[in-house]
Amino acid sequence: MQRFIIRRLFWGIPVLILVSIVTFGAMQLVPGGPFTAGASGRPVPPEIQANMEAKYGLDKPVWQQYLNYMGRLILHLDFGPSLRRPGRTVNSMIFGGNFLVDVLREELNQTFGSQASSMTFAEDPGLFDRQATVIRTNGQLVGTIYINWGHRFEAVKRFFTLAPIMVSAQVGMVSILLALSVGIPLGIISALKQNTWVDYLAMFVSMLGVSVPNFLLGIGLILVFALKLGWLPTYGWGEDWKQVIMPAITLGTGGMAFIARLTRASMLEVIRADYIRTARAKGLAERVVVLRHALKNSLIPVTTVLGPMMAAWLTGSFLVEWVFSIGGIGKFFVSAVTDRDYMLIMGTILIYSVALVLFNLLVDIAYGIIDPRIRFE
Amino acid sequence: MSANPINASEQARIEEEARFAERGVSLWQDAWRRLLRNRMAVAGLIFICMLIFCFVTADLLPTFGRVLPFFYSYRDADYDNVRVGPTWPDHIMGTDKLGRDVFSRIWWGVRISLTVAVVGSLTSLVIGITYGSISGYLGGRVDNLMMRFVDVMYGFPTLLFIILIMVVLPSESAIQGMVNIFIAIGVVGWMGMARLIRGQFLSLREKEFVLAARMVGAGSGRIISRHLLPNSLGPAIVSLTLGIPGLILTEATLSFIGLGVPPPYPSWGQMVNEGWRGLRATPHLTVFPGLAITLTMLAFNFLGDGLRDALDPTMRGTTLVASRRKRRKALRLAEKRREAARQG
Repeated sequence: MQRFIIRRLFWGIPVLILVSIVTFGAMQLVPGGPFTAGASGRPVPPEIQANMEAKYGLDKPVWQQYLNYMGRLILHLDFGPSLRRPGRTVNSMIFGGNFLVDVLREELNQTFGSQASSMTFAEDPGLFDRQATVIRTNGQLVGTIYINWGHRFEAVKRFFTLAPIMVSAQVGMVSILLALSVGIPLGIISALKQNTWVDYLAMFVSMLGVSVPNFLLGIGLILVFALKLGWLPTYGWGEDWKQVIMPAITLGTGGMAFIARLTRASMLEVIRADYIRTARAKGLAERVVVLRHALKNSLIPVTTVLGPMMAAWLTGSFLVEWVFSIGGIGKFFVSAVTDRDYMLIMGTILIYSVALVLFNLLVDIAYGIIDPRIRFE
Repeated sequence: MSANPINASEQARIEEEARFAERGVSLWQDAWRRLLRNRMAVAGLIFICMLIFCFVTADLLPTFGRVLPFFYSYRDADYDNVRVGPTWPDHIMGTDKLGRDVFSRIWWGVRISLTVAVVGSLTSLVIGITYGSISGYLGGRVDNLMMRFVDVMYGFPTLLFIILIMVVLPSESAIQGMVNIFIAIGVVGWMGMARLIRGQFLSLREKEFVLAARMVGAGSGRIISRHLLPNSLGPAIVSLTLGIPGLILTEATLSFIGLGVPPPYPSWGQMVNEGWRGLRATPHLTVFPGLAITLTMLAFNFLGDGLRDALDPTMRGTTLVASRRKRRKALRLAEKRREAARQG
């Protein structure tokens, strides 16, 4: 098992490298660069364009740019600067900057009051630094703050609640839980009640769920529950539990319907198998037969689709984040490409690919747990 | 013999089935018969026929408008009636921000959705069949390598890929630019088709009839085109039909985020995009195009599902076949009769 996991992770490396090469090459092939048009959309003079390209090293040959990028990424885990948003790094756009600095700054504000606005840190503290040096903006030393576990805990907590990648992951997680907790029971019930009105209704509803594009579902929900009834807020995430409902339904419904249909189909196949008849013949309760014997075996196809689905959902959905104004990383998948923000394109795509490799590995491990006949080779 | 009463309609069906059995029904005839028994698939088929009618007559709408009040050209702006809600019989679905008739625009928009369905499917079919048959026919190391490439392509972001292809293809006119979008959407979908064809080929090429063909001296090209391809066409068609909603969805989504079909051509997704900002004041601008997308997706989904069941009887039991309830009732009746016969 351990050897299997290590080998699979090892196999992920060439896949990631290949994806990075193809993406890097492809985005360079797309006409127009990050500096061809200014913020207002007017064309940038070629001299300025050349200077900006030189600043970010885009004037070098592509292979050299690629090696520089990968070197920085592997050695320092640095995704580079954003090319379209001056002063922002891709790391801060995806991981939400240094939350420890925010925590310490609040402490400074408490101790020094209005004076704190003229103070900065000599260098940004890392999570495992013992202390941070505080200086004034003119360079004069103020003192040091000792970083305790309270600070670290608060910073980590903020990362998990506020970081864009974590916001996206939360939306995705809730949606996946919704899809699984509704989809699987729906599939089981309609398989057990095959060809009754329950089955017809469930399958019609799930067909509807597959057919409604999720942006339309989101807009429809807003129209009914926010504008007409006024029950739920139209936008935002993380301030109110009511904000969770509509994005989760919007993102989760398609997958829920798909999982329901998949569960039903494989359940129908399994339930006619000989070992189910054996289980019934032994006199086991119907509940045990369905849940322990049939369901477990019919979950294999569901597990298979779960890998790519989790990778896509946990890294953020552009449409849901756009319709509900949620500050996740899903929006970068589109805006980075349309802006030609090369560094952001690479960052988002590499994160998605890593998620894909990891979740497919998880799926393979889950196979072995669900069905012990599947061996790891 | 009176112990087996069969009512007239059942009698007719059994006779019909017997006739078919005598004549020898081809796979396709049989599938068609099964498809027609599936109510939802037939409904989908009828809806798609209506869409085809809309597609054909889209340019005649101004001509219709001379006779009937609710037809307009999709691009004629009427600045006196801007953002009017649905009114009978002038604008049955209202007008948009330029006073263009929503109903006529949705009607014309059928062209875009159906074209993406056809062009996209053909593109993914051509690429998928070529790639999949090479991979599946050769097998071994080549196959392994080609499939790893498909795996990598799965991890590749769709949007970047679509933009890249749109840019690489030459476009001299707006129409051609539009077709390029459709081709790009289709190119993204080739991987699934390639896997399917390859899987079919891998299992088929070991079959006896292929060996027999090789024995009589058929070359690789002939074996692929005459023996392997026709036998893998059924699943390919099913997968193609099931893939169409995905293509329509991709086009609608692209247009919704402003990267799809350029104005003034009325794509449904683009109409939703223009409409949903004013959702509170003018919901009709969003609701009607949204309904059009949803209904079209439903129709293709039902048809695809029905086709799959019709072509692959082993996969039975995933759609609503109206006659199945009757069939089960008949089985139960037969059971009872047998029981009675045993006791009596």
